[in-house]
Amino acid sequence: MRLKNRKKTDEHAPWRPDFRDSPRLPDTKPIRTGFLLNFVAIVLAVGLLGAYAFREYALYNISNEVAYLGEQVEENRSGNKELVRLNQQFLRARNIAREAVRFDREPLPVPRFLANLAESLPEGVVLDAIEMRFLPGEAADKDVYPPFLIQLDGSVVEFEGSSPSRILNLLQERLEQLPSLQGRVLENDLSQFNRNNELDVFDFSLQVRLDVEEESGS
Amino acid sequence: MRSVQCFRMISKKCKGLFVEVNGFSYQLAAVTSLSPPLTVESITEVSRQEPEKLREMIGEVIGPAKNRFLRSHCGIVPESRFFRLHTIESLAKAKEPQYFLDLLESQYRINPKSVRASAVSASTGLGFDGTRPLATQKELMICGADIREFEAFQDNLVECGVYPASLQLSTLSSLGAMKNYLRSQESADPVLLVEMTQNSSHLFILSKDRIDLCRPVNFGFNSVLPTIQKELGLQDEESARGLFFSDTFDFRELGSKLLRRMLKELHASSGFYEVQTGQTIPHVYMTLLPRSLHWIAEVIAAEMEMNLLDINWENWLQTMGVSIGGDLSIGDFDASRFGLAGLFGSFSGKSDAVEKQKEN
Repeated sequence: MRLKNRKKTDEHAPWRPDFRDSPRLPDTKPIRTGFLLNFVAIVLAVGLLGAYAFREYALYNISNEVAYLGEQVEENRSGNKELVRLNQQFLRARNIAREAVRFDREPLPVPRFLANLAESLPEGVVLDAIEMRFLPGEAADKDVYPPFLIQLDGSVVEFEGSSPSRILNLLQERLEQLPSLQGRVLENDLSQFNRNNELDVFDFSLQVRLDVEEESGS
Repeated sequence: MRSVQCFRMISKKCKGLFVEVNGFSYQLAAVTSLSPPLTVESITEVSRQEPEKLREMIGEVIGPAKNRFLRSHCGIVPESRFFRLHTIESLAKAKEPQYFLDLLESQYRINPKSVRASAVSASTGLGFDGTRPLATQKELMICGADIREFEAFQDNLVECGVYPASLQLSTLSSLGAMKNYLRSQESADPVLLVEMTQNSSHLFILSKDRIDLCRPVNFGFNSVLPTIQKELGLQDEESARGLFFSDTFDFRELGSKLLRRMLKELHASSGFYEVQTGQTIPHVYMTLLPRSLHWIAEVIAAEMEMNLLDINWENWLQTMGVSIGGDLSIGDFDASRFGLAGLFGSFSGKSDAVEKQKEN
């Protein structure tokens, strides 16, 4: 313990009380530490200032760009309006044209189809009705034709040892091979097949969906 | 006083110094670290009369710039140094801020305003701390010196390029060192430690556990000069001084006459101790003696019928975590370097007395 002018106990190593007069010592460390601290502080400040300045500059540039683009938008607004109007006109016209084309378009050559069908109808099959139509609401996209449905309703009996179901299978196969349909059959379903007890026949309903290709140049 | 030749310069790789400034020389130990474990690379002596040489030597290590320094732990030997043993009777009283100041003035006739002083435990060496129990700090060593001497030593060191990381009393450090040495050798024997400077001396009786006795002696090197002058029929005291410090004359025959007053004090104190404790003192050791005056220690040992303590340097330095490097060898360590070596160690703060209690 230093006896003079010290209020608190100085911890010193055993047998080594320190009798230095600190104010008289040369000021070495504080200068270096202070210099270092100042240097670090200045570098930090300059760095932050630089970052801020850079951001402000970027902001200024972007603002200018925004203003310029705004001007461009204003300049082009009337021209754009005209173009939009023209485009709408075009779309209307296109839809009308499409409808007309569609209306005129034969999804398949009907007389040829009927002739093919008659020739390939297996023995034992009697057709009661042939329905042909576009399936509405199935095509979401107006640019794509919806599938075309051919529904054959009729009856079939056993003939020469072949069961009615085998005969209908044969009909289905032949349908897919028909020249007027070839390559375009999407589905070939037997939607109904039941025995008719009154007439002792099997009623059936066959649904054929066709993929109708869009003709180019229409 | 002839100038002591420097026989080793300080290596440029030196990380710091331990410096003892006594009446004759600056003793410098260049080290790899200011706390153990450390290696001593070189020991250099520069005469007190040639501080510019010290400045030059240090300049070679750190460069000539004025604001550059070599960090050092420094031990000094001011002539005005004082050491007193004091027993604390009441911890409460001792905690009072004026206690030690009054003690200095009333009991020791020392003006507290003119000195810088410290109170350390005579057993642990730790500073007196009012918050710690009385057990290890009942016996205190009050020590210090004149403020002006402390300032003069400090300024002088700074001018020479030494930045004092601490400014210690070499005597106190040597007491701690001797205690540490005795402990390291597991020696239970007390030692009579004597230090002598130009105008004053101190004697201490200590063991590995504590400092038991401490006495100032109004006797120094200058005290022998009139006797030398008279005995040898010299013209004046200056001639006597020249002869005394010259290491050309064998003063051993005159020894007991020259040292009569000192020997009287030594006999008185050691006798008192032996009667009080029933223990004889087998060893004596002298610090602060330059090699040329080693005969004084021999005379005292002979007259006191004691052995000059033979320090096992190798063993002791090892226990302190100090190794030797450069061109140094163990033979470079002797009594004249004890004070310097005593600065190296960081001695355990554990009270030996407390540890003894634990053992029992």
